[in-house]
Amino acid sequence: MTGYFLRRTLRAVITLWVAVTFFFFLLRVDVNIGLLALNMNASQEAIDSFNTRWGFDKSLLDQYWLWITGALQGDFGYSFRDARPAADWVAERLPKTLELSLAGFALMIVIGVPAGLAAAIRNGTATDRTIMSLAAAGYSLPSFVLGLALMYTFAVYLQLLPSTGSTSFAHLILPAATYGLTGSAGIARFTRAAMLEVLGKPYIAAARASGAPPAAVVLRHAVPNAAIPVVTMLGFSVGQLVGHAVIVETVFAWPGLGQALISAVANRDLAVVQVLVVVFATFMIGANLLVDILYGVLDPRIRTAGGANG
Amino acid sequence: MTSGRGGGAAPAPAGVDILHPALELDDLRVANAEGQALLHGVSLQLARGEVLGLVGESGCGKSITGATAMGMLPPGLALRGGNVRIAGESLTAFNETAPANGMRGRHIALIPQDATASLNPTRTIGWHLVDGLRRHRGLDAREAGRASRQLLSEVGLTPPERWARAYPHQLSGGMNQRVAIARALTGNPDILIADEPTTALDVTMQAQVLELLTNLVQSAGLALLFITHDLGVVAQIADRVAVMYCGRIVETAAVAAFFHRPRHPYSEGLLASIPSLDRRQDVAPLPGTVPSPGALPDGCAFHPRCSRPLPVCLGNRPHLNTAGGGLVACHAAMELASA
Ligand SMILES: Nc1ncnc2c1ncn2[C@@H]1O[C@H](COP(=O)(O)OP(=O)(O)OP(=O)(O)O)[C@@H](O)[C@H]1O
Ligand code: SF4
Ligand SMILES: [Mg+2]
Repeated sequence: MTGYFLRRTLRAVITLWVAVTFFFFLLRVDVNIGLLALNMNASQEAIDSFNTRWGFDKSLLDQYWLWITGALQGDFGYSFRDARPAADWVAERLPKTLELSLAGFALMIVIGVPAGLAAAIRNGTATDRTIMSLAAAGYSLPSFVLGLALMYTFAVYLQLLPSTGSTSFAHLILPAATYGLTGSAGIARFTRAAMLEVLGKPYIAAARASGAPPAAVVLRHAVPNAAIPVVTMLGFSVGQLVGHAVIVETVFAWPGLGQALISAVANRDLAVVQVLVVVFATFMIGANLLVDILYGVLDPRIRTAGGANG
Repeated sequence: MTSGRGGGAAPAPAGVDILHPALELDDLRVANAEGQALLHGVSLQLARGEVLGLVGESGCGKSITGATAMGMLPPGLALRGGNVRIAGESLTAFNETAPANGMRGRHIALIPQDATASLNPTRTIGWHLVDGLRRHRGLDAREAGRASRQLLSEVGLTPPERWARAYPHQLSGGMNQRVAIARALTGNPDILIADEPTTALDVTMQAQVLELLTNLVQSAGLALLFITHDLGVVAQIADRVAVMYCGRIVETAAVAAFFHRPRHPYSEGLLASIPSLDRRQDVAPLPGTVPSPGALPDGCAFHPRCSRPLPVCLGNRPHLNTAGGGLVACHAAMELASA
């Protein structure tokens, strides 16, 4: 069991290193950074002195060595724009993105999982059809459309909530609702499918035959098994939370990492882009690791692979 | 294996209370979603201490009969008439998602064909037993744990502590079948329905499971409805046989009488199609195939495949009548009996 977790963790660390290294070179290979960061009309001297100042005149391997040793100590270089540490960008904006994406994620689960369970338990009835039609609508609606619709309804028309910004709890409601509602549609569909599959298994019929009343069949015999794929799916979507936040952050002018990424790319602010890549990759890979670990906890067939029969 | 059981003309083996059947199936009529009848009035009685083998070719309605007795008709099938009485009380619901007046598990329990698939792969063996024990016997977690180890020993899984902790995928099919039997016993039922419980097992395991079931029936005085299409297994375990064809019982008889002298031409055909070492006869498979529920022949449903049909068989359906200590539904058998 411990071996399983250690192997997974080691693999995650290596994956992160490979991904980050790949991006490091991708962002630099065959690119004159000075030319990109300054503008086309800059003099050759200006470009050269820029490159010397930021260390882009060194060989790529030297640059990589400097960057990775720095990164391991928490030094991710400096922004071209304001010469502040790139890591400060993350430190300032990550809490905002986490606030939005966690509120949205919680809403996704709170709406999506019960809706999917109810649809599966009432399979084929009007309840099922209603929930699934709503989910289909939510699934096909792009989040910026829903975001703008919510903004128009609640901020512009009813004037109940602020439309943009992040200074109060009221500011969080519309972005989080946009995020949670669009996400919950997929979760509801996935939960329903997972639950229906489990309800069709012979061990559920056997539980009924052994006298388990309907509520116990659902709660004790079916839900824990259906939870395995659902938790897996939720775990993977944790990795995409920060990425998905980009769109919602843009619609509601939410000052999170998504906005930071867009402005850093527009400004060719290399160190900031690089540190954001590290953050996004860490989330993604961390989520996959989380899924692996949860899988091992939830499904004994994985923990006990190889059999304890001997 | 059959020695001392179901012997000759004795109406019932010792300890069998035929006056107070534990399970009574009375004129069961079941139809599918298209309205086609799958059971056309099946009646059977089963007493404690007795093993009734229910046999017939694939699709004749054995499993549906067992499912109706459990009040567990699969979706799409509906009871159109008849009655199931368990210890004198009638079942009121037959939908598999309804709990069948609390009878299931407590008075009547199922032993499935594929025991491994019947166990939740993410739960331990012990969990399954504790689940049933707490529900049916109202035990607390500790008592249920102790009772589950007791049950595991009873079905021959020793040391029980070890197997209680194991998961279904760590056990062989035969061991999981023992677990399924232990699980069926958690509610101290009077009646067990076993639907081909040994079909998926190899010969050695099959013999062990049959022996276990026989011992349970005798020691706990259980009534066992044993569904199979293997007449060899019936000879080993059953006291009585009921033969089904196209949703009807066509013959019931004590086991020894049945193997000595089957009355229904269909029973004869089934017996003749068993490969046998001592009879040195060619295996004679039944000609033709089982008609589908929507296309039953008029008169005796068996007449297109019968070796000696009478003119009356084509237009008139034979009813079950007493013959030689059992019941048989055949015009020709009736003539023989009355002759
Ligand atoms: N869930 C179902 N829905 C519709 N028809 C069914 C269903 N289950 C069984 N049937 C039909 O009912 C008839 C009897 O089926 P049943 O399963 O009782 O046969 P069986 O005697 O148990 O056969 P086998 O030996 O193959 O298990 C068959 O014609 C079958 O096609
Ligand atoms: S009733 Fe007639 S057709 Fe049917 S089994 Fe008897 S003899 Fe054959
Ligand atoms: Mg069957």
